[in-house]
Amino acid sequence: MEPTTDSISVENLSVSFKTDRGLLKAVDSVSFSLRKGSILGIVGESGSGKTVLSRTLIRLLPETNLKIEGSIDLFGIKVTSLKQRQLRHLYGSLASIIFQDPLTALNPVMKIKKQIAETLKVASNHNGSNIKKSVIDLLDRVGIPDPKSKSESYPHQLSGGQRQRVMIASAIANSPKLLIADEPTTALDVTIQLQILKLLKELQKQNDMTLIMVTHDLGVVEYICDYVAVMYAGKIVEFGRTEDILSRPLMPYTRALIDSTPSIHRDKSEKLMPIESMIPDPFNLPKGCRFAPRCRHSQTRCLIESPRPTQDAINTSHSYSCFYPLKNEWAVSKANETIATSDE
Amino acid sequence: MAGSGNAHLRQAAELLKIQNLKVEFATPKGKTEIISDFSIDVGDSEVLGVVGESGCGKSTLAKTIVQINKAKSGSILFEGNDIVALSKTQAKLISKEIQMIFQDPISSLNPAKKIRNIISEPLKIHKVAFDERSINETLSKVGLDANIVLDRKPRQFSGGQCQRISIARALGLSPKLLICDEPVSALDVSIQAQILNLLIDIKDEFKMSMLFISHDLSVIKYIADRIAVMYLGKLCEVGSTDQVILKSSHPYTQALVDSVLDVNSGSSIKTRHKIELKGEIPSFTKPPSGCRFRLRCPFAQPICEQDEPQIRKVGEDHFVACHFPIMQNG
Amino acid sequence: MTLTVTEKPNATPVAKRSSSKGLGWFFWACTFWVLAVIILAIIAPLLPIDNPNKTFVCQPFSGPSGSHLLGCDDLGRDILSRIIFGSRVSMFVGIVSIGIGLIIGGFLGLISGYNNKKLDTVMNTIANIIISFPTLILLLAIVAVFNHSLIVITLSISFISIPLLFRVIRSATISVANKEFVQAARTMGSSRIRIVFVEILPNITPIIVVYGCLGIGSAIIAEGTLAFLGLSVSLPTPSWGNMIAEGAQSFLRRDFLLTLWPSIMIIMTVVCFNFISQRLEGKFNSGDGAI
Repeated sequence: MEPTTDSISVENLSVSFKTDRGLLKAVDSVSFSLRKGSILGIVGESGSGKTVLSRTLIRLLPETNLKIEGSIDLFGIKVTSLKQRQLRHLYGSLASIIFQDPLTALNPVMKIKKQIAETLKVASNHNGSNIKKSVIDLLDRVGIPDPKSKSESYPHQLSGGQRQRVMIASAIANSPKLLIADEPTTALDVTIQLQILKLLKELQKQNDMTLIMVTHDLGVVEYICDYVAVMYAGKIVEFGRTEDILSRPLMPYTRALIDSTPSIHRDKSEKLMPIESMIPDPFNLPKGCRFAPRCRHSQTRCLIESPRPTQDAINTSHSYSCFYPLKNEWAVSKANETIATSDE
Repeated sequence: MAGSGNAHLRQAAELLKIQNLKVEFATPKGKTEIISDFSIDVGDSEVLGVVGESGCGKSTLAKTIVQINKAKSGSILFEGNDIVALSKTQAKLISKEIQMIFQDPISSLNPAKKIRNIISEPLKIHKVAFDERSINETLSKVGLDANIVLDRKPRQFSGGQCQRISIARALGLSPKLLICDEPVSALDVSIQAQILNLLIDIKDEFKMSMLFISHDLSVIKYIADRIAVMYLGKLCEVGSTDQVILKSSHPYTQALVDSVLDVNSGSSIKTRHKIELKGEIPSFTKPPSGCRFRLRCPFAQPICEQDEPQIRKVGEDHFVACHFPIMQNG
Repeated sequence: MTLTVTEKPNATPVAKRSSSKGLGWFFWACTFWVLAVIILAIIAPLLPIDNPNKTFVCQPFSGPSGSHLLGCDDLGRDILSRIIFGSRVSMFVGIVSIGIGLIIGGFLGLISGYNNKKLDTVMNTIANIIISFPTLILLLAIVAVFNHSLIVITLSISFISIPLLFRVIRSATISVANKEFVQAARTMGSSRIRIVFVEILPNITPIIVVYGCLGIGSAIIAEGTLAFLGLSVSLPTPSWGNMIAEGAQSFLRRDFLLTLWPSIMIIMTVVCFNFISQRLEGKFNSGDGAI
């Protein structure tokens, strides 16, 4: 997709940190594009680079020891070529972010109404009484009961779910085109998680907002996302529509991730298939495919050559980085069988 | 819910039998009851999963069993000995039989000590003879190579590896009961599956019982034989894993089951939700009268406000504390 | 399944400052200086230098020369020799008083910080009361009541350091005591004393070292102050503080060098102790952990 004003496009993006042990490439030549108004899930384990990628999209990371290569285009704005002082205009109406832990992301000594008002003031068309009303409207929209009295409280007086709602309220205050949610429900209880995800979905639809969910939880992805980018060791290894990725994954890593997730719909006798060993040391990455050392299907070629993102011949929205993609369900079950027998 | 009564306790001699347990914490606003009138039992080689949202008292329960917290009243019988009433020396003897694994694998290991000393510490405390070989053996049981591990400190290991070290430390004393407090919730999914499988293997090998605490029903379903559902310090529902998950009787259990976002369920999940809870867990300081769940319960009736439901049998090894349990077919 | 140990893959990628680069040359220079001063102080009687109290070994107020490297003072005593013998007083007071302070304050801090609420309240109150007195006045009062021998000075400085070190170690203990590994030790049946000394103490050793170094610097200054006021070891025994005082009296007459040399010694030594403390703190905080 060509960069247009109503899409996000990321090309060849690499993000490296300068550390004492050398350059650490947290995100390595990542490209993807996303149409406005869709929900993308970036999934990966810790250390996959998902958080770095999502924060780089809006240049949120401190850039003293950071090197960003490639280009990011947010709705026609070249984020990568913006100067530091221009970044301020990026936040609020173009993009905003919510974090995993709302307690640390909210200022503990400021009343809720003040925090949201501060964000509102960034956009100029608000005056005093106007702002007060907008704050209460916003709190109402994110489902805070009795918004008027709650707006007078401090963050610690609210429950975890309510704090996340407040975070969302202040993030959407200036109707951003892009909202990045970094593990927004990981710290919450399951029943509350569902409420928050519903809210995000609803707000996304109302505002025709683009939503990028960063998460480790495939269940959350399945519930809310239209598209998924699966990340492993700094690379996007598979990208496509959620139902394609989750029910017909082509990359063995995605399959392995699904197979190692416990499920209440799974029979108890069915053993989980963990991925052996652990993610590679970012300073000492495998030469070929980064997943190859842990992959059940890897061959010699995988250990030498690095696979490039490939488009699926039939379903062009689906791309993967693998020399030996899983062909279909039949191939998968066949492959699992051979592994099961070879294990014994 | 918020049930009282002991109808669900089994008659046969059980390894761990908790009866009418009450645990209180002192807060600036006065005493708060974290666990109220709670009874449960764990049989030999059985895994009891305890599930509930944050603040339901499940971690407090674990810490009371391992004597970190003190019980206000009630009894915790371990092989017939009441932990609550034991003297210090007797309690130390029992602490050998009950080991615990914590949620944060990294902070549950002393950063200043080498793995060698971490693993041998419980053996030293209980004056159990050990040598290099027995330590190596325990380590290999949890999938670690002693040569690499022993002389390093915890910060050189990842979360999954630290959790393996914790398990090795607990295994050293061959406990009869292993208490796991959210042992995998801090780990990545792929590592989580490794640890869960390891726990299952070890449980079979050592013929241990396990009290497995988690907020994640999918994890509990995978590992537990029986499930107890807690809400605000009370027992809602207890029974065999399949009974509780497939034929949930308590509206809260049903809501928990319905809020599990599950990737393996197929696309039907988006339409499946039946019970959705409004609001959040009320505070411990002033729990609702009658059934503690009534404020969030879609089926609450006036009686739920007045009477606390008693635990009653709804099926073979399936008990619930609710005035209006859901009757599921099949 | 075997395990390959790698650096934690999920460690934050943000550049860690200074941790793996070592402590830097300045740290080692400071350590060298401190060690040199300590060693010279210990072996002072064996050194080929004049008796520090012997007068007229050279021309009074004569400047630095080959035989008297730092020159001579108003009574014709060798300044270098007086500086080296003077360091014995400063270092003794600094190290011994803080050593005592750490042993007593540290022990009390450990036991009162770990799960002993009543004791903790009592100890904390006492510490607060002692701290609320102005340090110098308290020191003067103690010295006035007793005498100004080396032992009294050392003990009184350690008396003042105890509540300060107590507080630091107590709060460090509290923060470690809340960690899960302490709970884990409890579930294993570890006794209270064993938890304090086997689990907690190794984790606060870095803090003990850091505050110990900082404390020695302060103690040297405290002794210097007393000596300047003529309330430390009695003349003619040299100490850096009383040398400054002597120099200050003669300063108006002739030679500022008399004041300069001991001042340089105090400043350099205290700065070195403080810098060592600061670097170690940075090193420990960067996650390189306990020693």
